[in-house]
Amino acid sequence: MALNGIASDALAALPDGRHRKRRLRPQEPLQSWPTRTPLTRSREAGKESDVPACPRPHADSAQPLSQAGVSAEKILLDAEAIQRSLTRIAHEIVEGNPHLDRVALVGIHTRGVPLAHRLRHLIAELTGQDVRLGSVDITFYRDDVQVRGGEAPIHPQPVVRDTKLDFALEGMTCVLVDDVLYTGRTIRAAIEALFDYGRPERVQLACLADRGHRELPIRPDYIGKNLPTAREERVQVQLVEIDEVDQVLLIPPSKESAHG
Amino acid sequence: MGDLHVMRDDLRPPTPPPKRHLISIGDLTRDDIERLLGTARSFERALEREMKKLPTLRGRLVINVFYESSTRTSSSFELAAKRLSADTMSIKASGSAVDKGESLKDTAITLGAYDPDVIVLRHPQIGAPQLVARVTDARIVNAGDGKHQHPTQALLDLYTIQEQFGRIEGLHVAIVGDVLHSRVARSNIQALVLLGARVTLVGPPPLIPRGIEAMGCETTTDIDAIGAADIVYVLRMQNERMQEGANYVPSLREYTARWGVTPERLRPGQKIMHPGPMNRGVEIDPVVADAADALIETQVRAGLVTRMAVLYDLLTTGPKPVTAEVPMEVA
Repeated sequence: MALNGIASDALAALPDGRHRKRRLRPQEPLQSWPTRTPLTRSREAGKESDVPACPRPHADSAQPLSQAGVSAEKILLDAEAIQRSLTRIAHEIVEGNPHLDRVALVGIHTRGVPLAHRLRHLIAELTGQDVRLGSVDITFYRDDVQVRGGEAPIHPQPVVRDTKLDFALEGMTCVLVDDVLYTGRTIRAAIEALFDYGRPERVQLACLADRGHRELPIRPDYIGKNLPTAREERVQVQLVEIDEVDQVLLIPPSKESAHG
Repeated sequence: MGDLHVMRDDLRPPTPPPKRHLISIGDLTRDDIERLLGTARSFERALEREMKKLPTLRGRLVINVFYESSTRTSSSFELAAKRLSADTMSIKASGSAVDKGESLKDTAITLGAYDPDVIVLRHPQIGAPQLVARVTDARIVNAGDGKHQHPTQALLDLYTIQEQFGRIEGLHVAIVGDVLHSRVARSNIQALVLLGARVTLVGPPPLIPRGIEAMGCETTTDIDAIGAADIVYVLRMQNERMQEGANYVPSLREYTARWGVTPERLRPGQKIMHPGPMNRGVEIDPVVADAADALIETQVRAGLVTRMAVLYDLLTTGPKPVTAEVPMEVA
Protein backbone atom coordinates (compact mmCIF):
# COMPACT_ATOMS: atom_id res chain seq x y z
CA MET A 1 0.00 0.00 0.00
CA ALA A 2 1.40 3.30 -0.98
CA LEU A 3 1.96 6.04 1.49
CA ASN A 4 -0.60 8.59 0.58
CA GLY A 5 0.43 11.47 2.71
CA ILE A 6 -2.80 11.37 4.58
CA ALA A 7 -2.66 12.55 8.15
CA SER A 8 -5.99 11.31 9.40
CA ASP A 9 -6.23 9.73 12.82
CA ALA A 10 -7.34 6.44 11.36
CA LEU A 11 -4.04 6.08 9.56
CA ALA A 12 -1.79 6.40 12.57
CA ALA A 13 -0.01 3.19 11.61
CA LEU A 14 1.52 4.65 8.46
CA PRO A 15 5.32 4.28 8.41
CA ASP A 16 5.96 7.88 9.16
CA GLY A 17 7.75 9.28 12.15
CA ARG A 18 5.06 11.67 13.17
CA HIS A 19 2.34 9.14 13.24
CA ARG A 20 4.34 6.54 15.08
CA LYS A 21 4.93 9.10 17.75
CA ARG A 22 1.23 9.68 18.03
CA ARG A 23 0.50 6.03 18.60
CA LEU A 24 2.68 6.11 21.68
CA ARG A 25 0.98 9.08 23.16
CA PRO A 26 -1.92 7.44 24.99
CA GLN A 27 0.56 5.72 27.30
CA GLU A 28 1.94 9.06 28.45
CA PRO A 29 0.06 11.58 30.51
CA LEU A 30 -1.57 14.04 28.16
CA GLN A 31 -0.17 17.04 29.99
CA SER A 32 3.56 16.68 30.21
CA TRP A 33 4.70 20.06 31.41
CA PRO A 34 8.21 19.26 32.62
CA THR A 35 9.40 18.11 29.23
CA ARG A 36 8.26 21.35 27.65
CA THR A 37 9.69 23.81 30.10
CA PRO A 38 13.20 24.22 28.69
CA LEU A 39 11.91 24.82 25.20
CA THR A 40 9.17 27.28 25.91
CA ARG A 41 10.55 29.33 28.76
CA SER A 42 9.41 32.81 28.01
CA ARG A 43 9.95 36.27 29.28
CA GLU A 44 6.71 35.85 31.05
CA ALA A 45 8.10 32.91 32.95
CA GLY A 46 10.94 34.87 34.50
CA LYS A 47 13.95 36.44 32.87
CA GLU A 48 16.76 35.86 35.29
CA SER A 49 16.25 32.32 36.38
CA ASP A 50 15.41 28.99 34.87
CA VAL A 51 12.80 28.60 37.55
CA PRO A 52 9.51 30.29 36.74
CA ALA A 53 9.24 33.47 38.77
CA CYS A 54 5.61 32.85 39.44
CA PRO A 55 3.58 29.67 39.17
CA ARG A 56 2.68 28.99 35.58
CA PRO A 57 -0.80 30.29 35.04
CA HIS A 58 -2.29 26.97 34.15
CA ALA A 59 0.05 24.60 35.90
CA ASP A 60 -2.52 23.34 38.34
CA SER A 61 -5.58 23.82 36.21
CA ALA A 62 -4.13 22.04 33.21
CA GLN A 63 -5.92 18.80 33.77
CA PRO A 64 -9.36 20.29 34.36
CA LEU A 65 -8.85 22.48 31.33
CA SER A 66 -8.65 19.69 28.83
CA GLN A 67 -11.23 17.57 30.58
CA ALA A 68 -13.74 20.33 30.78
CA GLY A 69 -13.24 20.75 27.06
CA VAL A 70 -14.45 17.26 26.25
CA SER A 71 -18.05 18.29 26.03
CA ALA A 72 -17.88 21.85 24.72
CA GLU A 73 -15.68 24.69 23.63
CA LYS A 74 -14.13 26.54 26.51
CA ILE A 75 -13.04 30.15 26.59
CA LEU A 76 -9.39 30.29 27.66
CA LEU A 77 -8.90 34.03 27.24
CA ASP A 78 -11.54 36.71 26.99
CA ALA A 79 -11.22 40.11 25.38
CA GLU A 80 -9.76 41.68 28.49
CA ALA A 81 -7.15 38.95 28.93
CA ILE A 82 -6.11 39.27 25.28
CA GLN A 83 -5.77 43.02 25.70
CA ARG A 84 -3.66 42.54 28.85
CA SER A 85 -1.42 40.01 27.14
CA LEU A 86 -0.85 42.26 24.16
CA THR A 87 -0.10 45.24 26.39
CA ARG A 88 2.51 43.22 28.21
CA ILE A 89 4.05 42.02 24.93
CA ALA A 90 4.17 45.62 23.74
CA HIS A 91 6.00 46.60 26.93
CA GLU A 92 8.44 43.75 26.48
CA ILE A 93 9.15 44.67 22.88
CA VAL A 94 9.84 48.26 23.89
CA GLU A 95 12.01 47.09 26.77
CA GLY A 96 14.04 44.70 24.65
CA ASN A 97 14.59 47.06 21.72
CA PRO A 98 16.11 50.43 22.55
CA HIS A 99 16.10 51.42 18.87
CA LEU A 100 12.44 51.24 17.96
CA ASP A 101 13.15 52.86 14.60
CA ARG A 102 14.81 49.61 13.64
CA VAL A 103 11.94 47.39 14.76
CA ALA A 104 9.34 46.02 12.37
CA LEU A 105 6.27 44.03 13.34
CA VAL A 106 5.50 41.40 10.74
CA GLY A 107 2.13 39.70 11.10
CA ILE A 108 1.67 36.19 9.76
CA HIS A 109 -1.59 35.77 7.88
CA THR A 110 -4.34 35.45 8.90
CA ARG A 111 -4.67 36.39 12.55
CA GLY A 112 -1.12 37.54 13.10
CA VAL A 113 -1.86 40.58 10.93
CA PRO A 114 -4.48 42.25 13.15
CA LEU A 115 -2.40 41.32 16.19
CA ALA A 116 0.60 43.12 14.69
CA HIS A 117 -1.62 46.15 14.04
CA ARG A 118 -2.75 46.17 17.66
CA LEU A 119 0.80 45.79 18.98
CA ARG A 120 1.92 48.69 16.83
CA HIS A 121 -0.89 50.80 18.22
CA LEU A 122 0.02 49.82 21.80
CA ILE A 123 3.69 50.60 21.22
CA ALA A 124 2.71 53.98 19.80
CA GLU A 125 0.63 54.69 22.91
CA LEU A 126 3.57 53.75 25.08
CA THR A 127 6.36 55.56 23.33
CA GLY A 128 4.75 57.85 20.78
CA GLN A 129 6.74 56.08 18.12
CA ASP A 130 5.28 54.21 15.15
CA VAL A 131 7.19 51.07 14.38
CA ARG A 132 7.13 49.64 10.88
CA LEU A 133 4.48 47.14 9.98
CA GLY A 134 4.47 44.30 7.49
CA SER A 135 2.66 41.10 6.77
CA VAL A 136 3.78 37.79 5.40
CA ASP A 137 1.87 34.94 3.81
CA ILE A 138 3.55 31.60 4.12
CA THR A 139 1.43 29.54 1.73
CA PHE A 140 4.20 29.17 -0.85
CA TYR A 141 6.69 28.26 1.87
CA ARG A 142 4.75 25.53 3.62
CA ASP A 143 6.37 22.13 4.00
CA ASP A 144 3.11 20.26 3.52
CA VAL A 145 1.84 21.59 0.20
CA GLN A 146 3.51 18.85 -1.77
CA VAL A 147 2.34 15.31 -2.00
CA ARG A 148 4.21 12.82 -4.09
CA GLY A 149 2.49 10.63 -6.64
CA GLY A 150 -1.06 11.00 -7.87
CA GLU A 151 -2.64 12.34 -4.73
CA ALA A 152 -3.70 15.75 -3.56
CA PRO A 153 -3.73 16.90 0.06
CA ILE A 154 -6.94 16.25 1.90
CA HIS A 155 -7.47 19.86 2.83
CA PRO A 156 -7.59 22.43 0.09
CA GLN A 157 -4.85 24.95 0.56
CA PRO A 158 -5.91 28.18 2.20
CA VAL A 159 -6.41 31.33 0.23
CA VAL A 160 -3.14 33.04 -0.57
CA ARG A 161 -2.81 36.54 0.80
CA ASP A 162 -0.44 39.37 0.16
CA THR A 163 2.98 39.61 1.63
CA LYS A 164 3.62 43.30 2.34
CA LEU A 165 7.12 44.25 3.36
CA ASP A 166 7.63 47.69 1.90
CA PHE A 167 10.81 48.54 3.76
CA ALA A 168 14.34 47.23 3.57
CA LEU A 169 14.88 44.44 6.07
CA GLU A 170 18.62 45.06 6.34
CA GLY A 171 19.54 46.15 9.85
CA MET A 172 16.01 45.65 11.16
CA THR A 173 14.74 43.59 14.04
CA CYS A 174 11.72 41.80 12.62
CA VAL A 175 9.22 40.65 15.19
CA LEU A 176 7.07 37.94 13.66
CA VAL A 177 3.57 38.03 15.13
CA ASP A 178 1.27 35.02 15.12
CA ASP A 179 -1.79 33.99 17.08
CA VAL A 180 -1.06 30.42 18.19
CA LEU A 181 2.36 28.83 18.38
CA TYR A 182 2.08 25.07 17.96
CA THR A 183 4.47 22.87 15.95
CA GLY A 184 6.68 25.77 14.86
CA ARG A 185 6.36 24.87 11.19
CA THR A 186 4.53 28.07 10.34
CA ILE A 187 7.30 30.07 11.94
CA ARG A 188 9.97 28.17 10.02
CA ALA A 189 8.12 28.99 6.80
CA ALA A 190 7.71 32.63 7.81
CA ILE A 191 11.42 32.98 8.55
CA GLU A 192 12.24 31.51 5.16
CA ALA A 193 9.81 33.89 3.47
CA LEU A 194 11.31 36.81 5.35
CA PHE A 195 14.82 35.94 4.20
CA ASP A 196 13.70 35.96 0.58
CA TYR A 197 12.94 39.65 1.04
CA GLY A 198 16.20 40.62 2.65
CA ARG A 199 18.55 40.01 5.53
CA PRO A 200 17.11 41.27 8.78
CA GLU A 201 19.55 41.80 11.61
CA ARG A 202 17.41 39.83 14.05
CA VAL A 203 14.16 37.91 13.89
CA GLN A 204 12.05 37.63 17.00
CA LEU A 205 8.77 35.90 17.60
CA ALA A 206 5.70 37.11 19.44
CA CYS A 207 2.59 35.01 19.80
CA LEU A 208 -0.63 35.38 21.72
CA ALA A 209 -0.85 31.76 22.80
CA ASP A 210 1.75 29.02 23.06
CA ARG A 211 0.14 25.62 23.15
CA GLY A 212 3.33 23.55 23.11
CA HIS A 213 3.98 20.41 21.06
CA ARG A 214 6.85 21.94 19.12
CA GLU A 215 8.25 19.88 16.26
CA LEU A 216 11.09 22.27 15.48
CA PRO A 217 13.66 24.04 17.65
CA ILE A 218 11.76 27.32 17.75
CA ARG A 219 11.28 29.40 20.88
CA PRO A 220 9.14 32.52 21.11
CA ASP A 221 10.58 35.74 22.48
CA TYR A 222 7.24 37.17 23.58
CA ILE A 223 4.32 35.02 24.70
CA GLY A 224 0.84 36.16 25.64
CA LYS A 225 -0.21 33.02 27.46
CA ASN A 226 1.10 29.50 27.83
CA LEU A 227 -1.81 27.19 27.17
CA PRO A 228 -1.16 23.57 28.00
CA THR A 229 -3.16 21.43 25.64
CA ALA A 230 -3.35 17.92 24.34
CA ARG A 231 -2.44 17.39 20.71
CA GLU A 232 -5.97 16.30 19.95
CA GLU A 233 -7.40 19.57 21.17
CA ARG A 234 -7.46 22.73 19.13
CA VAL A 235 -6.81 26.25 20.24
CA GLN A 236 -8.64 28.86 18.25
CA VAL A 237 -7.99 32.55 18.47
CA GLN A 238 -10.86 34.78 17.42
CA LEU A 239 -10.29 38.48 16.86
CA VAL A 240 -12.76 41.31 16.39
CA GLU A 241 -11.18 42.27 13.05
CA ILE A 242 -11.93 38.86 11.55
CA ASP A 243 -14.33 36.94 13.80
CA GLU A 244 -16.29 39.81 15.38
CA VAL A 245 -15.28 38.73 18.87
CA ASP A 246 -12.08 38.73 20.92
CA GLN A 247 -11.51 35.37 22.58
CA VAL A 248 -9.29 32.32 22.66
CA LEU A 249 -11.15 29.01 22.60
CA LEU A 250 -10.16 25.49 23.47
CA ILE A 251 -11.93 23.12 21.12
CA PRO A 252 -12.16 19.57 22.39
CA PRO A 253 -11.05 16.57 20.33
CA SER A 254 -13.18 14.20 18.28
CA LYS A 255 -15.48 16.92 17.11
CA GLU A 256 -15.45 17.64 13.43
CA SER A 257 -14.80 21.31 13.33
CA ALA A 258 -15.80 23.48 10.45
CA HIS A 259 -13.32 26.19 11.38
CA GLY A 260 -10.25 26.52 9.24
CA MET B 1 -17.96 -15.76 -0.44
CA GLY B 2 -20.74 -16.23 2.03
CA ASP B 3 -19.38 -13.96 4.71
CA LEU B 4 -20.41 -10.40 4.31
CA HIS B 5 -17.64 -8.05 5.42
CA VAL B 6 -18.75 -4.63 6.38
CA MET B 7 -15.87 -2.21 6.50
CA ARG B 8 -15.99 1.21 8.01
CA ASP B 9 -14.96 3.85 5.54
CA ASP B 10 -12.25 5.22 7.79
CA LEU B 11 -10.62 1.78 8.03
CA ARG B 12 -10.51 1.27 4.30
CA PRO B 13 -7.06 1.71 2.79
CA PRO B 14 -7.06 5.11 1.15
CA THR B 15 -7.27 5.12 -2.60
CA PRO B 16 -5.56 7.99 -4.32
CA PRO B 17 -7.96 10.61 -5.60
CA PRO B 18 -8.01 10.94 -9.39
CA LYS B 19 -5.03 12.68 -10.89
CA ARG B 20 -5.65 16.20 -11.97
CA HIS B 21 -4.84 17.48 -15.43
CA LEU B 22 -5.50 20.70 -17.27
CA ILE B 23 -6.52 19.63 -20.73
CA SER B 24 -9.47 21.85 -21.50
CA ILE B 25 -11.17 24.88 -20.01
CA GLY B 26 -14.11 22.48 -19.73
CA ASP B 27 -12.17 20.79 -16.89
CA LEU B 28 -12.55 23.92 -14.79
CA THR B 29 -15.40 25.44 -12.88
CA ARG B 30 -15.82 29.15 -12.39
CA ASP B 31 -14.49 28.71 -8.85
CA ASP B 32 -11.41 26.95 -10.17
CA ILE B 33 -10.71 29.79 -12.58
CA GLU B 34 -11.18 32.44 -9.91
CA ARG B 35 -8.86 30.55 -7.58
CA LEU B 36 -6.23 30.26 -10.31
CA LEU B 37 -6.43 33.98 -11.10
CA GLY B 38 -6.09 34.78 -7.40
CA THR B 39 -3.04 32.56 -7.08
CA ALA B 40 -1.54 34.17 -10.19
CA ARG B 41 -1.96 37.57 -8.56
CA SER B 42 -0.05 36.42 -5.48
CA PHE B 43 2.76 35.21 -7.73
CA GLU B 44 2.79 38.59 -9.46
CA ARG B 45 3.46 40.18 -6.06
CA ALA B 46 6.19 37.65 -5.33
CA LEU B 47 7.89 38.49 -8.63
CA GLU B 48 8.07 42.17 -7.74
CA ARG B 49 10.71 41.52 -5.13
CA GLU B 50 14.41 41.12 -5.72
CA MET B 51 14.49 37.44 -4.84
CA LYS B 52 12.20 36.06 -7.49
CA LYS B 53 12.36 32.37 -6.69
CA LEU B 54 9.83 30.63 -4.48
CA PRO B 55 10.67 27.28 -2.88
CA THR B 56 7.17 25.88 -3.37
CA LEU B 57 7.80 23.14 -5.94
CA ARG B 58 11.34 22.29 -4.94
CA GLY B 59 12.36 18.85 -6.14
CA ARG B 60 9.52 18.54 -8.65
CA LEU B 61 10.14 17.77 -12.31
CA VAL B 62 8.28 19.55 -15.09
CA ILE B 63 8.91 18.33 -18.64
CA ASN B 64 7.92 20.50 -21.59
CA VAL B 65 7.22 18.48 -24.70
CA PHE B 66 6.64 20.65 -27.76
CA TYR B 67 5.75 19.02 -31.07
CA GLU B 68 4.97 22.44 -32.54
CA SER B 69 7.02 25.59 -32.54
CA SER B 70 6.46 28.00 -29.70
CA THR B 71 8.20 30.98 -28.16
CA ARG B 72 5.85 32.33 -25.53
CA THR B 73 4.25 29.20 -24.21
CA SER B 74 7.37 27.06 -23.90
CA SER B 75 9.52 29.84 -22.47
CA SER B 76 6.91 30.91 -19.94
CA PHE B 77 6.24 27.36 -18.77
CA GLU B 78 9.95 26.80 -18.34
CA LEU B 79 10.45 30.04 -16.44
CA ALA B 80 7.31 29.43 -14.37
CA ALA B 81 8.61 26.06 -13.24
CA LYS B 82 12.02 27.53 -12.47
CA ARG B 83 10.57 30.42 -10.48
CA LEU B 84 8.83 27.81 -8.33
CA SER B 85 12.11 25.91 -7.86
CA ALA B 86 11.04 22.90 -9.91
CA ASP B 87 13.46 21.18 -12.28
CA THR B 88 12.62 21.53 -15.96
CA MET B 89 13.46 19.76 -19.19
CA SER B 90 12.39 20.79 -22.66
CA ILE B 91 11.93 18.30 -25.46
CA LYS B 92 11.36 19.65 -28.94
CA ALA B 93 10.12 17.47 -31.78
CA SER B 94 12.99 18.46 -34.01
CA GLY B 95 16.31 17.30 -32.64
CA SER B 96 14.75 14.53 -30.55
CA ALA B 97 13.95 10.90 -31.29
CA VAL B 98 10.68 12.15 -32.80
CA ASP B 99 12.81 12.91 -35.87
CA LYS B 100 13.71 9.23 -35.98
CA GLY B 101 10.07 8.21 -36.09
CA GLU B 102 9.32 7.61 -32.43
CA SER B 103 5.60 7.74 -31.69
CA LEU B 104 4.07 10.09 -29.12
CA LYS B 105 3.19 7.11 -26.97
CA ASP B 106 6.75 5.81 -26.85
CA THR B 107 8.16 9.26 -26.20
CA ALA B 108 5.68 9.67 -23.37
CA ILE B 109 6.59 6.32 -21.83
CA THR B 110 10.28 7.18 -22.11
CA LEU B 111 9.83 10.52 -20.39
CA GLY B 112 7.50 8.92 -17.86
CA ALA B 113 10.42 6.77 -16.74
CA TYR B 114 11.99 9.90 -15.22
CA ASP B 115 8.97 10.15 -12.95
CA PRO B 116 7.94 13.69 -13.91
CA ASP B 117 5.30 15.47 -11.85
CA VAL B 118 3.97 17.50 -14.76
CA ILE B 119 4.23 17.07 -18.50
CA VAL B 120 3.39 20.17 -20.53
CA LEU B 121 2.44 19.03 -24.00
CA ARG B 122 1.89 20.81 -27.28
CA HIS B 123 0.93 18.57 -30.15
CA PRO B 124 -0.72 19.11 -33.54
CA GLN B 125 -3.34 16.45 -32.89
CA ILE B 126 -6.45 16.68 -30.76
CA GLY B 127 -6.48 14.15 -27.95
CA ALA B 128 -2.70 13.87 -27.62
CA PRO B 129 -2.80 15.06 -23.97
CA GLN B 130 -5.27 12.32 -23.05
CA LEU B 131 -2.99 9.70 -24.59
CA VAL B 132 -0.01 10.92 -22.59
CA ALA B 133 -2.19 11.07 -19.46
CA ARG B 134 -3.00 7.40 -19.91
CA VAL B 135 0.54 6.12 -20.37
CA THR B 136 2.33 8.19 -17.70
CA ASP B 137 1.74 9.00 -14.04
CA ALA B 138 2.37 12.70 -14.59
CA ARG B 139 -0.23 15.41 -14.53
CA ILE B 140 -0.74 16.79 -18.00
CA VAL B 141 -1.03 20.43 -18.94
CA ASN B 142 -2.29 20.95 -22.46
CA ALA B 143 -0.24 23.69 -24.11
CA GLY B 144 -2.24 23.41 -27.32
CA ASP B 145 -3.59 20.33 -29.09
CA GLY B 146 -4.38 20.93 -32.73
CA LYS B 147 -7.26 23.35 -33.10
CA HIS B 148 -8.95 22.03 -29.98
CA GLN B 149 -7.83 23.80 -26.78
CA HIS B 150 -5.12 26.00 -25.31
CA PRO B 151 -6.39 26.46 -21.76
CA THR B 152 -3.43 28.32 -20.24
CA GLN B 153 -3.68 30.94 -23.00
CA ALA B 154 -7.31 31.53 -22.07
CA LEU B 155 -6.41 31.76 -18.39
CA LEU B 156 -3.68 34.31 -19.02
CA ASP B 157 -6.07 36.32 -21.19
CA LEU B 158 -8.64 36.26 -18.39
CA TYR B 159 -5.94 37.38 -15.97
CA THR B 160 -4.93 40.23 -18.28
CA ILE B 161 -8.55 41.36 -18.63
CA GLN B 162 -9.22 41.04 -14.91
CA GLU B 163 -6.16 43.12 -14.04
CA GLN B 164 -7.01 45.75 -16.67
CA PHE B 165 -10.74 46.13 -16.03
CA GLY B 166 -11.05 44.77 -12.50
CA ARG B 167 -13.76 42.41 -13.69
CA ILE B 168 -14.67 40.05 -16.51
CA GLU B 169 -18.41 39.71 -16.06
CA GLY B 170 -20.39 41.98 -18.35
CA LEU B 171 -17.48 42.90 -20.62
CA HIS B 172 -17.88 42.60 -24.37
CA VAL B 173 -15.08 40.84 -26.24
CA ALA B 174 -14.87 40.74 -30.02
CA ILE B 175 -12.68 37.93 -31.36
CA VAL B 176 -11.58 38.79 -34.90
CA GLY B 177 -10.05 36.53 -37.51
CA ASP B 178 -9.41 32.85 -38.14
CA VAL B 179 -11.64 31.28 -35.49
CA LEU B 180 -11.93 28.01 -37.44
CA HIS B 181 -8.32 26.97 -36.90
CA SER B 182 -7.83 28.62 -33.54
CA ARG B 183 -7.58 26.63 -30.32
CA VAL B 184 -7.04 29.95 -28.56
CA ALA B 185 -10.47 31.09 -29.71
CA ARG B 186 -12.16 27.90 -28.48
CA SER B 187 -10.59 28.07 -25.03
CA ASN B 188 -11.24 31.79 -24.78
CA ILE B 189 -14.89 31.59 -25.82
CA GLN B 190 -15.49 28.85 -23.27
CA ALA B 191 -13.68 30.70 -20.47
CA LEU B 192 -15.15 34.14 -21.20
CA VAL B 193 -18.70 32.80 -21.45
CA LEU B 194 -18.18 30.84 -18.21
CA LEU B 195 -17.18 34.05 -16.44
CA GLY B 196 -20.11 36.01 -17.82
CA ALA B 197 -18.54 38.02 -20.62
CA ARG B 198 -20.27 38.64 -23.94
CA VAL B 199 -18.34 37.26 -26.91
CA THR B 200 -18.79 38.22 -30.56
CA LEU B 201 -16.86 36.42 -33.28
CA VAL B 202 -15.98 38.48 -36.34
CA GLY B 203 -14.41 37.16 -39.53
CA PRO B 204 -14.88 35.88 -43.06
CA PRO B 205 -17.72 33.34 -43.26
CA PRO B 206 -15.49 30.34 -44.09
CA LEU B 207 -13.38 30.98 -41.00
CA ILE B 208 -16.29 31.16 -38.55
CA PRO B 209 -17.28 27.54 -37.82
CA ARG B 210 -20.95 26.81 -38.35
CA GLY B 211 -22.82 26.13 -35.12
CA ILE B 212 -20.20 27.75 -32.89
CA GLU B 213 -22.99 29.92 -31.46
CA ALA B 214 -23.80 26.86 -29.32
CA MET B 215 -20.79 27.83 -27.18
CA GLY B 216 -22.72 30.90 -26.09
CA CYS B 217 -21.29 33.54 -28.41
CA GLU B 218 -22.58 35.66 -31.29
CA THR B 219 -21.16 35.73 -34.80
CA THR B 220 -21.00 38.33 -37.52
CA THR B 221 -19.06 38.96 -40.69
CA ASP B 222 -19.24 42.73 -40.29
CA ILE B 223 -15.91 44.17 -39.08
CA ASP B 224 -17.66 47.32 -37.85
CA ALA B 225 -19.08 45.18 -35.04
CA ILE B 226 -15.74 45.47 -33.21
CA GLY B 227 -16.52 49.11 -32.48
CA ALA B 228 -19.02 48.04 -29.82
CA ALA B 229 -16.60 45.85 -27.90
CA ASP B 230 -14.55 46.66 -24.80
CA ILE B 231 -11.78 44.36 -25.97
CA VAL B 232 -10.78 43.43 -29.52
CA TYR B 233 -9.02 40.09 -29.54
CA VAL B 234 -7.15 39.61 -32.81
CA LEU B 235 -6.28 36.17 -34.19
CA ARG B 236 -3.60 35.25 -36.68
CA MET B 237 -4.37 33.53 -39.99
CA GLN B 238 -3.19 30.03 -39.11
CA ASN B 239 -1.88 29.00 -42.50
CA GLU B 240 -0.12 25.92 -41.09
CA ARG B 241 -3.45 24.40 -40.10
CA MET B 242 -5.35 25.31 -43.27
CA GLN B 243 -6.18 22.56 -45.72
CA GLU B 244 -4.03 22.45 -48.83
CA GLY B 245 -5.64 24.28 -51.69
CA ALA B 246 -8.64 25.48 -49.70
CA ASN B 247 -9.50 29.11 -50.38
CA TYR B 248 -10.78 30.46 -47.10
CA VAL B 249 -10.11 34.02 -48.22
CA PRO B 250 -9.36 35.22 -51.73
CA SER B 251 -5.99 36.65 -50.64
CA LEU B 252 -4.27 38.01 -47.55
CA ARG B 253 -4.53 41.53 -49.00
CA GLU B 254 -8.25 41.09 -49.38
CA TYR B 255 -8.44 39.79 -45.82
CA THR B 256 -6.51 42.78 -44.51
CA ALA B 257 -8.72 45.17 -46.41
CA ARG B 258 -11.93 43.69 -45.09
CA TRP B 259 -11.10 42.30 -41.64
CA GLY B 260 -7.75 43.79 -40.64
CA VAL B 261 -7.84 45.64 -37.32
CA THR B 262 -6.84 49.19 -38.19
CA PRO B 263 -6.91 52.42 -36.15
CA GLU B 264 -9.90 53.67 -38.19
CA ARG B 265 -12.00 50.69 -37.16
CA LEU B 266 -11.38 51.22 -33.45
CA ARG B 267 -12.69 53.81 -31.07
CA PRO B 268 -10.45 55.33 -28.41
CA GLY B 269 -10.14 53.34 -25.18
CA GLN B 270 -10.73 49.93 -26.70
CA LYS B 271 -8.15 47.42 -25.52
CA ILE B 272 -6.39 45.22 -28.06
CA MET B 273 -5.24 41.69 -27.34
CA HIS B 274 -3.41 39.16 -29.50
CA PRO B 275 -2.16 35.72 -28.46
CA GLY B 276 0.92 36.05 -30.69
CA PRO B 277 2.76 35.56 -32.89
CA MET B 278 1.52 38.63 -34.77
CA ASN B 279 1.64 39.15 -38.50
CA ARG B 280 1.84 42.90 -38.56
CA GLY B 281 0.11 44.41 -41.51
CA VAL B 282 -2.10 41.35 -42.04
CA GLU B 283 -4.58 40.81 -39.22
CA ILE B 284 -3.37 43.77 -37.17
CA ASP B 285 -2.10 47.17 -38.24
CA PRO B 286 1.37 47.97 -36.78
CA VAL B 287 0.00 51.22 -35.36
CA VAL B 288 -2.64 49.29 -33.42
CA ALA B 289 -0.12 46.71 -32.21
CA ASP B 290 2.15 49.40 -30.77
CA ALA B 291 -0.58 51.63 -29.36
CA ALA B 292 -0.89 52.26 -25.64
CA ASP B 293 -4.19 50.40 -25.64
CA ALA B 294 -2.56 47.17 -26.81
CA LEU B 295 -2.23 44.67 -23.98
CA ILE B 296 -0.10 42.28 -26.00
CA GLU B 297 3.02 42.60 -23.87
CA THR B 298 0.94 42.49 -20.70
CA GLN B 299 -0.43 39.18 -21.91
CA VAL B 300 3.07 37.73 -22.13
CA ARG B 301 3.82 38.86 -18.57
CA ALA B 302 0.52 37.42 -17.43
CA GLY B 303 1.49 34.12 -19.06
CA LEU B 304 4.30 33.63 -16.59
CA VAL B 305 2.29 34.12 -13.41
CA THR B 306 -0.74 32.27 -14.77
CA ARG B 307 1.38 29.25 -15.63
CA MET B 308 3.01 29.39 -12.22
CA ALA B 309 -0.51 29.30 -10.77
CA VAL B 310 -1.46 26.32 -12.95
CA LEU B 311 1.62 24.32 -11.95
CA TYR B 312 1.13 25.22 -8.30
CA ASP B 313 -2.54 24.36 -8.41
CA LEU B 314 -2.10 21.01 -10.13
CA LEU B 315 0.62 19.91 -7.73
CA THR B 316 -0.97 21.09 -4.53
CA THR B 317 -4.53 22.03 -4.05
CA GLY B 318 -7.91 21.71 -5.63
CA PRO B 319 -11.22 20.88 -4.05
CA LYS B 320 -12.39 18.80 -6.96
CA PRO B 321 -10.56 16.57 -9.39
CA VAL B 322 -10.96 17.54 -12.99
CA THR B 323 -12.43 15.09 -15.43
CA ALA B 324 -10.43 14.55 -18.55
CA GLU B 325 -12.42 14.14 -21.70
CA VAL B 326 -12.92 10.77 -23.35
CA PRO B 327 -9.47 9.62 -24.44
CA MET B 328 -8.84 9.31 -28.14
CA GLU B 329 -6.20 7.29 -29.88
CA VAL B 330 -3.60 9.36 -31.65
CA ALA B 331 -0.13 8.91 -33.04
